[in-house]
Amino acid sequence: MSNNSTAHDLQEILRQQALLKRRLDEEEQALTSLAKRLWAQQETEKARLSRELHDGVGQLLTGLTRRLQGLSKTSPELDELCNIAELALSDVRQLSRMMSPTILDDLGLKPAIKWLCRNLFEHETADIQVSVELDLDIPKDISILLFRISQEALVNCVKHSHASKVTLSLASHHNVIRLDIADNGDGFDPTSIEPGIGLTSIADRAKAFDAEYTLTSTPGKGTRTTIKVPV
Amino acid sequence: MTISVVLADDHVLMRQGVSQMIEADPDLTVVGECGDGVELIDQTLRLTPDVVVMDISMPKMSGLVAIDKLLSQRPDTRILVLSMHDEVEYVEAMQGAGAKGYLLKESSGDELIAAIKKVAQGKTVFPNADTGQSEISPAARRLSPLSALTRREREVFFLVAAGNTSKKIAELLDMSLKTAENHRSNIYKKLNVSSSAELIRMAGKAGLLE
Ligand SMILES: Nc1ncnc2c1ncn2[C@@H]1O[C@H](COP(=O)(O)OP(=O)(O)OP(=O)(O)O)[C@@H](O)[C@H]1O
Ligand SMILES: [Mg+2]
Repeated sequence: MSNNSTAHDLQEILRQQALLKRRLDEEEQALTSLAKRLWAQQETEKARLSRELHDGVGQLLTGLTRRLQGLSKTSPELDELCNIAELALSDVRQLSRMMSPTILDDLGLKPAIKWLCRNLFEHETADIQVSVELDLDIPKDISILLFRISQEALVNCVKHSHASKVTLSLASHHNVIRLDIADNGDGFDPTSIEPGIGLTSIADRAKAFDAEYTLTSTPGKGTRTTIKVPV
Repeated sequence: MTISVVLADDHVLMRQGVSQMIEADPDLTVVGECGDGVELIDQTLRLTPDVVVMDISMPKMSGLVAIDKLLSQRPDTRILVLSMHDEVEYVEAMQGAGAKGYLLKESSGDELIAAIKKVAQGKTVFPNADTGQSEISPAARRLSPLSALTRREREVFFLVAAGNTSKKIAELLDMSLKTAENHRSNIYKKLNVSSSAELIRMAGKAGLLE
């Protein structure tokens, strides 16, 4: 009799545990899908801002540049003003493209990554080496994920590392894509820095896509960011 | 012999403008116009134009995929890409996909007509490879751009960055105009810039302007 009721209790506990586990899984799923939707929303918003920048300030500066070009040659000073306006225009265009990289839609991840590296390192002292070996079709949201993480990590290399060499490699193996970004710069102690938007967004994005994210950095020994994402 | 053209661009105004330019040339005629990649393939296979003139960013099917599909179904299709993007990655991708030409939308009507005619003859039209690489050697710009300058040059540097002319600088630093200009050109050389605009931008990026 008592044996029976113990067995019954045990069964009840197991049943409740299974229920809880299922609830927890559901909650986690809901959170992940919410996170994904939030990132998608942010991309839409960035695309809107990028268009506004391009069509707003961009057009004004185009107009200004054209008019200055029409005037210049009459004095060296005007020539210089014209140069400054041209630089401002190209900076705005660049900013708008970085904000929403249409190249990702137009040409796909590989050219987009090369474009990103070229643009970020064009005027830098550091050398960048890029290798991209992808032999599978990558869904749009994963492409955006990899592009944005690359962008944050590379901007950090440019801003903080003082490196002379930076490498980015992106490769697929079976159904996993591995992104690896390393610099030979200053490095830092990951436990003692105040994470900014960059590192936080890398971690959050990776989590939303079930990607494995590791950041290794040692003062004096450079920094390495690795992402493994299942496709 | 008129050259027939199918034109694809989702931007209607742009397409009309281009179409008018093409029609205005006695040797060219537009036999089909469309606004997306799917229609483009359909029209090209049906109308077999001498040249396809197309944009890259289009709805339903991107230009890159459309080129791929077109060439697999009609390998001798001659495609001229008309694009707003001047980046080397775009040109390479389109060339790699099998397009015969690449022209920027800001090109003049004459350039467009000339490009279509060339492509129709089986020639290729691509911009000079602008790799976007600057010649600035990494070593030339160490961490502080100013470390390469002498003390006097630094003074001149800040005055240039503040927008002063050589004449004004000569006055302020009590030197001859010739000396001021010499300093200026040495600074440009050392920093690898070619104008005061570039110098200002560089100073801004290095956080040297308040
Ligand atoms: N590659 C790197 N080399 C050296 N230090 C780095 C590197 N990446 C990150 N750090 C350090 O970690 C800090 C946090 O980086 P994070 O990207 O989160 O913020 P941030 O770059 O300072 O600002 P932002 O919010 O604009 O990204 C940086 O301020 C820097 O001290
Ligand atoms: Mg950062």
